[in-house]
Amino acid sequence: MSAPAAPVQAWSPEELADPGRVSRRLRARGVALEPEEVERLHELLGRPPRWAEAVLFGILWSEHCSYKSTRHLLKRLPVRAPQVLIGPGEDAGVVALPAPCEDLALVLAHESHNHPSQVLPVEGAATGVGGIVRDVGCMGAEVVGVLDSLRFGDPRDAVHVRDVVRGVVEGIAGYGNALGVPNLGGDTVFDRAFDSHVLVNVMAVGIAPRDGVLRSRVPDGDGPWAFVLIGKPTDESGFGGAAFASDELGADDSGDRRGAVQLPDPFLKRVLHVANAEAFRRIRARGIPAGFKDLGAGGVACATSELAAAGRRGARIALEALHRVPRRIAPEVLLCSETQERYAWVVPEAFAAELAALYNDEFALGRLHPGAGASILGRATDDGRYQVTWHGEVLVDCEVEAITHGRHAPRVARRRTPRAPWKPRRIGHDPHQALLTLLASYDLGARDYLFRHYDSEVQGRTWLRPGDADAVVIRPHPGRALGLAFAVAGQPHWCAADPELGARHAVAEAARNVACTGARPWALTDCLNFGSPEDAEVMGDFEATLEGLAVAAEALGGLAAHGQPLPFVSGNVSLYNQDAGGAIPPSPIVMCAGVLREISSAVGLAAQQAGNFLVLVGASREGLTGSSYVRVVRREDACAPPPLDLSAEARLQSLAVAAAEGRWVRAAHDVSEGGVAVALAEMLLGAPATRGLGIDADLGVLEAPLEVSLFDESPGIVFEISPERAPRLFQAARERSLLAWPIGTVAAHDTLRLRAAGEVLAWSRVELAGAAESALPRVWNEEL
Amino acid sequence: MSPRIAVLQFPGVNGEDEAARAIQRVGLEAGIVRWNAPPASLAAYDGYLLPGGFSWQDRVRAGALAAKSPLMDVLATEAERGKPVLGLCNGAQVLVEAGLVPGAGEVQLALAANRMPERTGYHARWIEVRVERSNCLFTRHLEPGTVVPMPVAHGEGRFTGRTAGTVERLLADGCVPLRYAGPDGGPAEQFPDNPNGSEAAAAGVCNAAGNVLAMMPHPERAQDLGQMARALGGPWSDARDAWQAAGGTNEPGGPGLVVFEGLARHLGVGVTA
Repeated sequence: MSAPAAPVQAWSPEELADPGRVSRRLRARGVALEPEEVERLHELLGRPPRWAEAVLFGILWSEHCSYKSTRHLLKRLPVRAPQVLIGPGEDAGVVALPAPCEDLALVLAHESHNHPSQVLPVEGAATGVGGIVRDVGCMGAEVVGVLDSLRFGDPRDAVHVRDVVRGVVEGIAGYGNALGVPNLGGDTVFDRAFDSHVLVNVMAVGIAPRDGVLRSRVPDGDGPWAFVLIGKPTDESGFGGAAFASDELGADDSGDRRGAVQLPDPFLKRVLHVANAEAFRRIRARGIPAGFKDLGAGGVACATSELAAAGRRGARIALEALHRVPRRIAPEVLLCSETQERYAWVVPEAFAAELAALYNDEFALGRLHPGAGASILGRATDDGRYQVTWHGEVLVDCEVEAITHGRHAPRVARRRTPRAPWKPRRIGHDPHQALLTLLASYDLGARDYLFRHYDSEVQGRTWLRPGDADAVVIRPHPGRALGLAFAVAGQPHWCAADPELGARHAVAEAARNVACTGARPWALTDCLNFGSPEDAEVMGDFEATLEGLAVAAEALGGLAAHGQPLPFVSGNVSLYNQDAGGAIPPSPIVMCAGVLREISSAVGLAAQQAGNFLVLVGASREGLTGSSYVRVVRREDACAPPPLDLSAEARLQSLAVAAAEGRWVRAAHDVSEGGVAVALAEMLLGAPATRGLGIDADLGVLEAPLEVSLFDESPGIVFEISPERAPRLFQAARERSLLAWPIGTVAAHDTLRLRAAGEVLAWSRVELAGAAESALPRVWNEEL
Repeated sequence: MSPRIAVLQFPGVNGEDEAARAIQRVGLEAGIVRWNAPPASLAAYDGYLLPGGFSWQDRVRAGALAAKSPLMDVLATEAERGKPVLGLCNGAQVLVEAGLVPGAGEVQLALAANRMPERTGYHARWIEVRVERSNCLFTRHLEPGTVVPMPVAHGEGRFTGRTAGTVERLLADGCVPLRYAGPDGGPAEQFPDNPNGSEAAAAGVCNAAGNVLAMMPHPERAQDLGQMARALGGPWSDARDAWQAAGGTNEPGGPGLVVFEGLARHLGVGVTA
């Protein structure tokens, strides 16, 4: 089988006189190199590139792969702490765990799949999950959970937004459920700013033996080393996907970019992961050195060249040996396409045949999916050259250094003045109706309808699932006491009003949610979703966001290691979330992973027992700036986020962890969207209906106007604690110079009763549940 | 040596590890047997478990391809000889497709698409099942009326018969050992307590001999007392709260283990968990 002859050179030496014209012509053929990069590549190679080389460098130098606009800014983030084993730079970050799991490592990865999910929501979201689990799997880990952070448009009147919501949920569910990786929640926000730019951020978490973490590089030593490609047969799907993700979406894009979206196959991936687990077992048992990498953007070319470059080696790849679909495909497409469900091994040549046989014969991948399996593609070399041939014809021949040579694109940044706090202009909304309006909104409504699409229980590790607590809690090693907690945060309205303060809140809230369960915040991941880096205001927001993330992370690491920052161990940048209508709000999304030394001490959010006290600890209730109340009930611009005192935040989280570890508290719930009123309603609704629990609260102790005491979103935590143990909580708050207010008790009357500023308000459980459960089902069931 | 249970790993299943763990927790041994293993090798095991997942990608129908596997011929022979067989979720779909449940040599039941108000397709939640009077070896050690919480997660879990009244007749014959329970502990007719519209609220159906059980819920995902959903009340949740408040030592087993304890008792093994 021979492929159509490819043009030998991507451009001629004469054409270099007009690099802009070359750039435009390349773009028309799916290769994204800026004019300046055309010149740079010519200079690096000392000649015009071959087509495959132009394609390869177009992908390597895309924003998606190179971080060329942002890499220098990302250095601002703290990445070091004693628990960090591998920080940002690999496919996933790796952190050490304490006893009784000191022999295990936690592997974390976080990515976006925004552009593909806007064009083809089901496939885009599914391959987002598929890609992130490969990032964790290629570190030699068992993937034990996925989370997703979704930013949808306003579904109230837009059919296409509802299609995207349903499609993304279907894609995440269809892939994750079949793969057998539990969905550990995440968060969902609806806002008009995302009407034509959905954000689909996916996170995966895994567990590996601490001394068995695999690196994505040719191992040290003489080898000789062979490259073994495994998985689905290569086809043309996803060709140019990285370049696609680095371009603005044009108005007509949902028509002609579909070829760049990859096709998911969770069934094959499941079997591939079972086979990988057996491969991990063998190489560990026999001490075989190996490198492992997933195939993502840039396919075989990026995976093999980066494996070689990271090991400071060269490589010879004989592409004709690649297992592929039985139809004619140009070799440079085979080299760079983004066919899903593939990984690349680099192992001693003496082991390569056995490894290939594991996939081809023992697990017989070809009997499950036509053409799937393993092929031995070539070897590592010591000459520092990366060379790919196709039946002897040279497709790529360059110095490995050219591949690792970073790109930097200088961008102009312009910082803007953050919004001022919101000032009340008039009062007079019925507070009884206001709480129901908030609960019935898309932003604050119950997520139960959505979670029911996902399998959160497979693997049998889940203890606190989405909706049970402020963070999800799993038991990574059955039979051992250690628990892990995960939570996601990032409030676009706050980041739009003040990018730096909004970013601080994102880190603080993710860590606070983890601390509410009793887990010590242990590590962070992030994805920075922004508009075009060619827009100076976007870059200004980006700088401000990094500053905010860094300052908050530096303040909140003490519960893992005293005096140390909470480290970012993995992350991703998604730019060009923008079109002629403008950019999305600055959208940093932060995941925090936390550690519970004893999972049996994990604290949920639901009210537990009548007679227990409810105690609010945190910032005093002083205003409504940034609140959902202003935005949703008053329908006004809510302006700046509430203030955040990071020192007090660290002390608040320390209190939450101490209270859980000491088993004083029975429930804990973060005061966030909707303020104390929504927090109390959620604690009531979280309890089993059959227990008939209610809440009596007197918010007069907060000494604030009615709406402020109910709906202020300043940081805080509501704890439930028995009367006998309450003094300990107040004592612990005093020791930490934290304000604490006894605001009420758990009652036996199935009703939320709030007293404040001389008014008595009451809502039945049925009334609250009816409101909270009203919004999301409409997206699936209501005709517009 | 403890009795050994084979956990069948058809391509696409994804619940084999936690199923094996549950088997081990009640003092039995578990061995994962891959889909392309020599079928005769199965005969040496003392019992069989078909785990959840998406065997053969649910091609044709959930469970349909695995039901035609050569491994299933051996399994049918061993089941006929009285060895225990437990199918969980997708495993239950395989047993029904293979005609092993309710048995009698023909396919009498189907696990049809869920029927739910305002939603379609896959649905995951914690539910409660109640034990019915039967001679099913997995549940006969439990008092009829005992309520046990555990999760469900499936798109096709509605037990229905080839002819009208089949499921009711099986219930009368003692072949429906597990039914979905409502808040009062009685059989649940309404969503969401009956999560899929199953006829007679059937959650699990066994053969007449009581040694082959096909159940849609996932007892293997309810092995730890602490992992029960917080939205559930009842005695198991009260026990969980009391255990946690008392310091969380001497961890008791979770509700789902009762099904595996029935298996262990049948095989003459004292329950350890």
